[in-house]
Amino acid sequence: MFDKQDLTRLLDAMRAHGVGTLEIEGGDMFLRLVLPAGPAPAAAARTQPATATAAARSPDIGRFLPRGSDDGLPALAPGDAVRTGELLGYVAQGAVRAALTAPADGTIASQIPEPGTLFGHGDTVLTLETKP
Amino acid sequence: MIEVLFIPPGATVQDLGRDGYWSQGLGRAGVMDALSHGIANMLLGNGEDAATLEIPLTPARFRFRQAGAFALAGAACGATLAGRPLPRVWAGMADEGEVLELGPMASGARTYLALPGGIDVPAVLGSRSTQLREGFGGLEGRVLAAGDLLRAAADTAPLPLAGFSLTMPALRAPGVAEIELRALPAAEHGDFAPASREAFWTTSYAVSQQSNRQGYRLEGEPLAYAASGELRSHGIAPGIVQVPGGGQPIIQLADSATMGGYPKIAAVIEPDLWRIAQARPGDRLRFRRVTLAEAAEAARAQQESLAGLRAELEAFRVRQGGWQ
Repeated sequence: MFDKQDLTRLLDAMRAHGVGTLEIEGGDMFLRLVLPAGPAPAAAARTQPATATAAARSPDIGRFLPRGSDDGLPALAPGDAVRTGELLGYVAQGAVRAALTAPADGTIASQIPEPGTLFGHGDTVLTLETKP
Repeated sequence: MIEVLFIPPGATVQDLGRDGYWSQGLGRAGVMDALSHGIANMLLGNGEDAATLEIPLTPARFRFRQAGAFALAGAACGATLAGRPLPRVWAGMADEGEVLELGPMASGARTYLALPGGIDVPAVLGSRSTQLREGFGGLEGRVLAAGDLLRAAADTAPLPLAGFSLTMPALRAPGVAEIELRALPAAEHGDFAPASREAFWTTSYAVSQQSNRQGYRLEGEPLAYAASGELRSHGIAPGIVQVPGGGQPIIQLADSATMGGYPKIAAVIEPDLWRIAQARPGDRLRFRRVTLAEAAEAARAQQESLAGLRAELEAFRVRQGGWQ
C-alpha cells in the first residue's frame, strides 16, 4: 500500500527527473501516476532542490514508546540528526519493545508520536529528511 | 566469538552459581543480579542458567570477530554498537568487525552481556561461574582482560534484524529516592538493642565504597548488639546482614564466605538481591521487614513475572517470523 508520503515522494522524484508517467505493479497492486506537462524539469529541480524523505516504519503491532524514558538514551526531537540503523523509539506490545530504527542517515522531519499511539506493522511512525 | 579490546578489572563469567558445596566451604559465586542476567539470556532464547559476562566497571570495548547476536541488560552504560546508541536492555545482531562499546554507568552498577547459548566456558563442579577466591571456573578462574576471546556456546538463533528491548522492573519505586529491600529478621535480631532494631527497619543506609561481590558495607545509624559473650561462627548465605563491632552493617553477597562470626540482624530475600547488585556507592537502601510467607510469595511472584515475559517474547518471535 502507498500512503500520502509515499505518493509525494514518488511525485517529487518524477518531477526531479522529468518523468511524465510512472507505473508500479506488484502483487495485487497497481499504481499509475501521470504528471501534466509542466515547466522544464531541470528548472524545477533548480528552484526546489530535491530533499528526499525516508519513512521509519513500525516493526510490530503495538504502542509507540519514545526513546529516553527509562532506557538510558537521550530523547529525540524533530530536527535531530540520526544514523542508519539508529534506534529512534519502540513499538511495544506488553513488555516487549520492538526497535524502530532509522532507514537512512538524516534528520527527524516529523513530530515524534505521542507515547501510546497505536501502530500496525509497516505503518510510518517517523519521517526522516535525508541528504539528497 | 567476541574479542575483549579493553576492560577494567572485575568482569567475570558467571551463571546462577555453584550450589551444593557450602558444607565444604565453597561459596556459591554466580551472578550478583540474577534478574538482569536472566533477562539477557531470555532475550536470546537461552536457558536462564547460561553463562553471561558480568561487567561491574566501564568503559569496556569488544569486537565481534564474526557476525552474531548478543544481548545486554542491567545498568545503563551508554552502550554503542559501531557508534550507534543502544538502550540498556537490548538484543540484536552485530556485523563482523563491529565494536560494542560500554560507556560510563549512569544508573545501576552492573551490566550483563549474553551470547547465543551462553558464553562457552567449561563447567566445573556443575557451574560455569568464576570462583574468584579459589581461582577456578569461568574463564580460567579469573577476571577478564584485553585479548580474551569469548565464544558463544550455540549458533546465532534468528533474531529480528532491527533488534528489540524489554521493560524491566524498576530499581526504585516511582518517586522514591531509596532502594527498598525486603528482609527477614535473622538469628540474632532479638539480641540487638530495641533502639537499634527500630533504626535498622526505619532509617536508610548508604552503600559505602567498600562494596564488591563479597559484600556491601553500609553506613548509617550504628547498631548495638546487646547480648554478652562471643558468638561462634555460623553458616552464612548471600543476603545475610551482619553487624561487626563498629555497628555498621555488611550485606553478604555472591562471593560471601560460607561461615561468619558476626551477629546477624536480617537476611535480604532472594528476589531483592538484584537490587543490591545494581546499587552504587552513595545510593541509600531501606530494609522492609517481611514474613517468611511474604518472602515465599515474592519469590513466586518474581518467577511468575519472568514466565510472563518469556511467553511475551515467544509471541513476539512468532509475530516477527510471520512477517519475514
